[in-house]
Amino acid sequence: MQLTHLITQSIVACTVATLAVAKESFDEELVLKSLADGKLFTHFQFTTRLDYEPSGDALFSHYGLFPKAIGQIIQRYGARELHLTFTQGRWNYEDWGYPIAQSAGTGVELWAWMYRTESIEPNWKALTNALSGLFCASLNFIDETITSRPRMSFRPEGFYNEQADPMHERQDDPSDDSELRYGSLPHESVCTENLTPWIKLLPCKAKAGVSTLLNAHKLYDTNFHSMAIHVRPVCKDVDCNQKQLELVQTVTSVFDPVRVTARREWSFQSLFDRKIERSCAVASLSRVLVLLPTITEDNAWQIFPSADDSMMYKVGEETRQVAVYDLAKVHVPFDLQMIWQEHIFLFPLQPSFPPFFAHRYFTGYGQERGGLTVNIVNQNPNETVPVIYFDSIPWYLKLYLHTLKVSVTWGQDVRQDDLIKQTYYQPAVDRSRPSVLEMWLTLPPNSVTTVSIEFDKVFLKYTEHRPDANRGFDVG
Amino acid sequence: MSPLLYIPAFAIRLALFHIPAIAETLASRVEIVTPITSYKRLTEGLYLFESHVPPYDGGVFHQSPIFLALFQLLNFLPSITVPILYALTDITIAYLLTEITTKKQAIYGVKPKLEVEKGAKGIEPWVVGALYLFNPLSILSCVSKSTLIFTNASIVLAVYYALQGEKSLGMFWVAMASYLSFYPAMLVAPIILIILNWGANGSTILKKDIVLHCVLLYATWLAALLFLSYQLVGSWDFMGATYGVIIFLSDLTPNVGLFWYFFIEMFDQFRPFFLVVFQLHAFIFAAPLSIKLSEHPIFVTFMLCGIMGIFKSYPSIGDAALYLAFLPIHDELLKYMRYGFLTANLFLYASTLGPIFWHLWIYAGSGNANFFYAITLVYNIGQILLLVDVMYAMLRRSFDVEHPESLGKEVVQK
Repeated sequence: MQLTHLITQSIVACTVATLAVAKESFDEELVLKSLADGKLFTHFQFTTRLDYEPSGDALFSHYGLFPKAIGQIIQRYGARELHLTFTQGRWNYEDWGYPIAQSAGTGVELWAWMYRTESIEPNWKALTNALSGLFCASLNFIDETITSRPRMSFRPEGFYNEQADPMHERQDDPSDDSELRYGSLPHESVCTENLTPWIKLLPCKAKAGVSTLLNAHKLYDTNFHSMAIHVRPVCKDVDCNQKQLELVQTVTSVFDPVRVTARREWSFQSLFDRKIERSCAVASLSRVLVLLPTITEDNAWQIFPSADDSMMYKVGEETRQVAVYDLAKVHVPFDLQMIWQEHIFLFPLQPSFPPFFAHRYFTGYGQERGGLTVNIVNQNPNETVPVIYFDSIPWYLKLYLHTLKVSVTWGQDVRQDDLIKQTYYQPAVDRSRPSVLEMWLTLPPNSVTTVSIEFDKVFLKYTEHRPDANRGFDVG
Repeated sequence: MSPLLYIPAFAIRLALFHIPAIAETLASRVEIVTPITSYKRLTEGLYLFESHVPPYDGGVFHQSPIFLALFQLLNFLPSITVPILYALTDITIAYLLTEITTKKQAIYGVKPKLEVEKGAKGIEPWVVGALYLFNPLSILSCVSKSTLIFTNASIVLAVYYALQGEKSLGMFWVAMASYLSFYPAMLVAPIILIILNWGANGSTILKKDIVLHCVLLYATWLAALLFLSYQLVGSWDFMGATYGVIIFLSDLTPNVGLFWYFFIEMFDQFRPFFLVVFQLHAFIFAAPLSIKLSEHPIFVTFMLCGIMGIFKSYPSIGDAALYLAFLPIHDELLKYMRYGFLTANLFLYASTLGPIFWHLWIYAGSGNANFFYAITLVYNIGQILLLVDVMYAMLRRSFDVEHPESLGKEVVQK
């Protein structure tokens, strides 16, 4: 016990020492929100920022809060920006609305802006392999047969976007010095062996602060969970004189308290089987936020302990309250509890469709050919919505671009040319690259737009089938 | 006789083209269309080409650039033009076969004959045309819009012009056929033999010079076609996407041939070796046949077309339709054939069970790849048996013609 204490002290001492040199900061937040169908949305977000010069060489030889493992990987392999998500389950837009953080597809999704050098291809390969080792995931399977380079769908989120002020003339276009690489493994199952190395990147690990609640047994017993890390360069000021490297780590889960108790009530203890014992000492900001539902007659609730601080946020027309708990000030052990005045939760029979959502599904039967259909719904009554549809299809589905049809099934009668602003298509090459389809669509108000395309299923060599061939292939 | 023959053939084809359920089903059957002759893939290639996406930079389109030019042109015309083009091509093939038969009968008329053949009339030339036009295989292949029909037409045109003594045109059409589907390159030898034996009547030029001239013509035409293609698409990518796929078999879609199953199951380290073996095997018959049967070059063409139809990497029933059309030209051999009943049954058996086993494997899921492969083996055994039988008939008849005294004598092997 004493030994642990000693080590903790020395770690704190080290951290303080480097803080003075490297100028780092660390924030942590937990956001909770009750969803319309009784589920509970929890979102952990940990942000580490480091002042740096992108060209600086010995950047990560001394490190404090910013994890050395990530820093060295992105520096060694020339990644300007890195986004990696591990997701299991499907985000249910009909019932849950939009997620707070960027939503990702099932499995593993990785995209990075890589500095354009001669060794960009080996760098990307090395990056996927390094991340594969770091997160105990099969990221090394993101090879050239899966990697794509979308043209329209992704924008760098780094400093240049920060100053996307139209008054500012962009100094240099980010696409000048870096290229996008994108790969996804929809088959990958995400589990505790991915979470453990992810937690190790945090300065307080799972010992203090909101990260205490990251209990793998509970997090993976949920309807949806998504774990992500995003590394990007950001600006500290408007003119971008000071640059920072930002690492955002998030864990998003959708719990189902109704499944256990038939009521919506929850507490940290019931959700995570843990309480927050102490706050993280190195965090400059350590908070728990609860987005409070509006109180109506049949929707009365109470929250314990009551918040000493609260904020307001706007959703469309109405304003809602947010309870804010600063972990530096709360009484420990801290257990938050929310109780509804209801005997049993009545499931809402009317789904609350968000204004804009999409469905993708396969058509056809047999092992020879099939089709892919996407319905994109725009429920906005009077606004045209521009969207970019991006799909990267593995080579073993041979797409026929001439069968691509875009039509509006209800709403106004619109010509195909008015719907599609721009299309980028890269046909697949057998055993070496995927098909990439990107379309810039303008969805008319209050309409369902259907995109469909036909494909042939390629006959594979016996070695090219995945293990458990009868399960089929996942197409992300 | 001819119009009476062509009008119903033309009408059947157009009628089938206008029943979408039939035309679309045929266009997607693996027995009829292959990755290198599929009209759907051609449409895709054309679409990519017109959308300024390089059509050969992808895994879908494996057909010659000249099709892009031809069908781009046809796109400006009403949509009925394409079925008419296909039907007319088939009619042309039948007409040329009739002409070839007439010419062949004139040539063989002065050759030594068997006693029983004297006074007997050979097959009516129009029957040869009719046998092609009303062969279900050629009708199905035509209605599927398989681009193989253009290769078949080129081969028939080459034989026709070679018989006319038109060296340049004859070699052009062989070059065209080899340009379209690579394997007909082996037909250079029999076509030159036709020109040499019967085409160059009364000429004083040395035989060696004629051969050299023909080979040069072939090389020039082929180079010209390839260069024209390069000009059309602006890169040499098409070489890999067309001939590369035919040679290296990168698309393993099943067909009626022998390659796909082997190369799906093959251990990777043996792949290059067996590719060489399989491809060499298809070509290896060209030289011995041309040497042994140099007096019967049309027959050599028939044999080589048959071998192509069995041993090429992406065969379809359209290949069988072509060599089966050449068979009745040599009607004098039919009386020597021994396995007619067996061969006919094997063909019928395969054509009934082929689609059934395909359905069991791909759609019902109650069968597997072995079912379909087994039935393609039966089909190929039928074809091989037919070729062996015809070859035997040819050799036996030649022997009998040369040794009329041995007829009716017993042969004892010691």
